Amino acid sequence: MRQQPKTSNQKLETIMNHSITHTEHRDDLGAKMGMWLFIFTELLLFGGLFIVYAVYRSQYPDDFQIAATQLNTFIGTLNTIILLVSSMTVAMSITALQKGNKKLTIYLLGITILFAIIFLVNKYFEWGAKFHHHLYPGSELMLTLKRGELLFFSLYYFMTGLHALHIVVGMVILIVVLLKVKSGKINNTDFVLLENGGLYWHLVDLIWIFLFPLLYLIT
Amino acid sequence: MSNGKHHITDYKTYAWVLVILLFFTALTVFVSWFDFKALTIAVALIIASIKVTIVLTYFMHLKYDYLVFRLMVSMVFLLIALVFVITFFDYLFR
Repeated sequence: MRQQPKTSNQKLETIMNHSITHTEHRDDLGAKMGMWLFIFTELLLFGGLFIVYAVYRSQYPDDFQIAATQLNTFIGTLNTIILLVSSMTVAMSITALQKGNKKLTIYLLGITILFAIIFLVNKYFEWGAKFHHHLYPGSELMLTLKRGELLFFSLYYFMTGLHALHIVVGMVILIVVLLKVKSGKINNTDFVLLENGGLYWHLVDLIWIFLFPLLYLIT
Repeated sequence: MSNGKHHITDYKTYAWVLVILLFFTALTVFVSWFDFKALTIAVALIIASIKVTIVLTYFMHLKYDYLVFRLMVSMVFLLIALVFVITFFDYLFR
């Protein structure tokens, strides 16, 4: 009778020791699966907007073409290149960490964040020029435009605006990831957070790849 | 301890992927200077789809990941394509 609690205590102790040393509560595959499911919701969100775009473009093809000439193709192309290069740097940062090169990982993530800032600065100048010409949602000039042109600019502001918001969120995620790499919380044996942060950044790139030709390159 | 699939992609591979993506970007800008009439959108979308596939395959590691991810991503794009088709059936034939 006296010995029984002691043995069960010992049993508990061994189980606890066992769990502390061997069981890590970690499921990288599950984490990645969750990230992909989230990415799917984002794709469907933008997919819906692309459907709106497609329907209105098919109804007002000429208005869309005229309105699109107002967009700055140079800034659009520049931002495409910036996003593609930053996609590469974030992908490379994973390689760097897998190879145990923490310094290079931080460096590459820093470059990616810098590219994100440059993208937003370009966007600021792009939108700023439009605002300067009184082309912004709700302006008097917008109301005088033809229906198709008005729809084009509304979609332009909404889609690039929502995309820019994703850039900001992606930047915050990458900053958090960078700090965690720095502190060693993300390391070459546990880096699913870096992978997922990278996936988010690539998603932002994916959406832009469709936005760019559909908004900027209609001639 | 293996927790998921971890394939290390070379820096060189990523650099080449970027070169190819930049090539297609240049191509899509170049093509936009010509008028293919009704095919203009198709050409732009085909190039964009190629670029997206490359990003998914290499940058997003689908090539080296479990098959289930490739299947799921294909399903989602198929779903979006289907909704497009169904929507246009409505708009074009009403």
